[in-house]
Amino acid sequence: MTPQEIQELLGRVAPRGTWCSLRIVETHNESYTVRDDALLPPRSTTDRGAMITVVSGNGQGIAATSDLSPGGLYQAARVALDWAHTASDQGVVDFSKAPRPQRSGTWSHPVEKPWEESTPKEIVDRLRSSCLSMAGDERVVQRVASLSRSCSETTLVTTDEVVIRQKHDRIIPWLQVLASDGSDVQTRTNGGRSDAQLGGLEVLDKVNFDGLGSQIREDALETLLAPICPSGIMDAVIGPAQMVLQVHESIGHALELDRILGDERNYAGTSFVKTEDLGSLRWGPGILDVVIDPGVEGEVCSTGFDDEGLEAEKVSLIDKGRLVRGIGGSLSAQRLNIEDEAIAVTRACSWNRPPIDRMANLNIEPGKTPMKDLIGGVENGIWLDVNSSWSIDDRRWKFQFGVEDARLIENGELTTRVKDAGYRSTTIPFWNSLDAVGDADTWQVRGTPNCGKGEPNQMVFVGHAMPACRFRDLEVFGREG
Amino acid sequence: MQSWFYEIANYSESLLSPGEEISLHLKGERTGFSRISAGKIRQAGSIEQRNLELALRSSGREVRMSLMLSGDLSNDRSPLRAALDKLSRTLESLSEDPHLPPLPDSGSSESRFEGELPSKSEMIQTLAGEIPLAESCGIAMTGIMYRGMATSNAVRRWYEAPLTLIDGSMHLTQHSGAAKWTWSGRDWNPEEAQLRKDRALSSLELLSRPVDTPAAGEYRTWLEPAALRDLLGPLLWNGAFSARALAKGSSPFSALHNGRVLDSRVSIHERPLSVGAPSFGDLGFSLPDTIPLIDSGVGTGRLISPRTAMELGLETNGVNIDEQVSAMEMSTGDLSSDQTFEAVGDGLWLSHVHYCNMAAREGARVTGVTRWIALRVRDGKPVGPVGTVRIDDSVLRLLGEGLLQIGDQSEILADTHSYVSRHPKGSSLPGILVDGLRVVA
Repeated sequence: MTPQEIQELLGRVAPRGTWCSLRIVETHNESYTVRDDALLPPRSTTDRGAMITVVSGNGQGIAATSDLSPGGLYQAARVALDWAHTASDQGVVDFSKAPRPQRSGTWSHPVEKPWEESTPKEIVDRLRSSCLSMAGDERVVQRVASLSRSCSETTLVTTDEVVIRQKHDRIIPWLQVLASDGSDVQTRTNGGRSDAQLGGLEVLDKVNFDGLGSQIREDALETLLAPICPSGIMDAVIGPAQMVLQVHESIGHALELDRILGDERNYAGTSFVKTEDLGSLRWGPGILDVVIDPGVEGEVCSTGFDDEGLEAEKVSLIDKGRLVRGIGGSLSAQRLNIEDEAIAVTRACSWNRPPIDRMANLNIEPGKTPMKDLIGGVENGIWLDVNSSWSIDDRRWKFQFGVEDARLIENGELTTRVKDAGYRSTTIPFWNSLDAVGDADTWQVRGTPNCGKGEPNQMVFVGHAMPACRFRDLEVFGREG
Repeated sequence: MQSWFYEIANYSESLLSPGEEISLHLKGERTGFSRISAGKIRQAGSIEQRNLELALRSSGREVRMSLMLSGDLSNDRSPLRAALDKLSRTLESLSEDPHLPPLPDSGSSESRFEGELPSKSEMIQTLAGEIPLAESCGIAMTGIMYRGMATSNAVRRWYEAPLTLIDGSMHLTQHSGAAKWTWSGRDWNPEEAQLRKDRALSSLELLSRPVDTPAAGEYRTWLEPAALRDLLGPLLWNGAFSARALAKGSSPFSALHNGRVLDSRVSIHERPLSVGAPSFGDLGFSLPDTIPLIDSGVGTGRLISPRTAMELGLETNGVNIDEQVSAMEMSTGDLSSDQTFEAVGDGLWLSHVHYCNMAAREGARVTGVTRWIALRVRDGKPVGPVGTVRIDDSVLRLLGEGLLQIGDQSEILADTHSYVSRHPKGSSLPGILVDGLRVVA
């Protein structure tokens, strides 16, 4: 359906005297996996449905349906209306005064090598080649090469004639080696599920997909033979793939306004950040700049609008180590009386879930320190990269993370590889221990398809572009924790 | 929905070319939900969806596609036809799959459960409104879940069950404490739900006492059933009982198949009936009534998907491709549920362990943090909340030499997760008393 047809359809099904929006999402996913040289049955998905939101009086109701016929949408609108009436006078806000989309627009992004221009055989051959490149040692007990594509088109229309259409095409490459010597098992991957990017098959060239397999195998074997990570307080240089997880868990979720408002406290949790901290809290040294940037080429959450129609623009969250604003869309900002601080991050995972505050492209801006100086500035410490384990409390304060890739740093040089490395700290003291931010050469555009939150639960893509960073006096440990 | 699904199956079969086989798996739901924040409605609405997974196979190859359908056969024929055309073309380009299992044998089954669902207003009122000294949050979800399975070799299976789930919490306004409560069942029972809510309410006084945070160290601890589920969680999704993971050595429970044993009182099995889960898996195979996994402390069984069975030369027990439990049941012991504080004596009492993850495969080491009702116990009495402390310990130790007692009652813990869709699964677990639970920070 064209946006105009959807607009007309909404006009036909919207209950009289109400404000309505209709969001139709159509997603096509394809996934190919070669495991130990055998192709698993390829999978694809066509997911198409609509969410209609009805505001009647001060109440709001929603209904999601996979029946996109006029009759199906008419019925859904009545169900939503009934919810709006039932919820009347009991909402967290007067929904008749809630912010609404203001401007129409379209957004899409460049795709250099469209997925459709490759045949399934070409994709499978490429995966077979990658899988084979991870073989060659009897200690390698499992090899997985996988490639997924997720293409979604979202159309949002309202009864006051706002029409927004956006298209996102995402690629998720995955390589994994499992190595075992009979008593120990180690896993290495191409970035711990942080290699998702926006675009077509050119993404594979960007991440050197075809050349990674043999390196991952060698890393896995080396890790298998490595000594267990020593425990102690030490300086650490954290690589971009682990910084993805670090920032995601201890900055991103902590700054979500719906957590600060308490909406998430039954499930994902709340935040140690209080409303009065916005604009004042010291969050690391002056070299730390954190932004939401919807315009980074290839980053998975680059976008033009959020799912409630707010236009996206680059904003600062932490400016030179000072907390400027939280991560929240129009409604959360209105509830906190900070309407001007709203940013386009209210997103839904699909048509069957309502939009909520989410991270989008949450990035640390590159600093000035080259990699050799990050490492060179550590006398006795450790390099930590590629997440393998993550756990943080419901206020986003006390965390413990594990990594796949760890090497000792001795006298300013990377030396012995170690295994089963983990570290733990608390959020603000940890960020205050930051003493160097890697330059643009260390900065990587990365992204993950697996950020869970919300009730009913929602899993969304999140983009993170990260430099390597150096932290002082971190509690690091090995297998015994 | 059942007749529509069978019509869909018959229509799909009519489109097959010679030599092609098909299986169809439906996940459908009609769900109403009300999400409450501080006693008020944040979001409320309904979701209706019908996700059909088609698996087309021919000449030892298979390709799969999921379609979201409308429920109206006249509208669904066209996308089905297009999907099968595409799958058929894709099949031609694939090489033979060396581990493709056969379709399940022909057979039929039907499980249709009935129960009363709460009205929209009743759902809202379970969580909305004011509570003395606290705020109420959470989600109420109700509706019917559908699972259907059909194959071109005459398998027809159907599961249909209502389920209401109240997943709520109460958050003190003057302190940081909060208590969680849940109720789930096929037949809405507001009195039972209110009892659960009242029980959580009565814990708020304890949670408002001064925080008594334990120093890093080892503590005798009672883990409620939900806390045990939380600790087991990351081990399960890392392949604890997966036949393939066990064969590769990547299962955190590999040691249990290589001589290590747990306490002899520990018996764990997969039993769909224990939580009202369907008696067939996503691949259409009928599931055994019980799959023993740990018997008297000894690792005895594995979850063997049809594909793994083909690959490793084993006999399948029909479970899903991910080889994860969907209805785990653990045998009870003899510690009375009203004697848990006395049994702890001096230590901790935990209702949940939040955000657990596997910290090391070796020893099945799991880390997580306290949340909800986490109490310091002294002289057999709860004295106050412990605040947020990090747990990091070996689950093999906790269920082995560290196990002191097992509770005499199981709790059915419905799966509260609703990623993509609601799921008719859960676990049935007792609580456990353990020695020396390791607090690290």
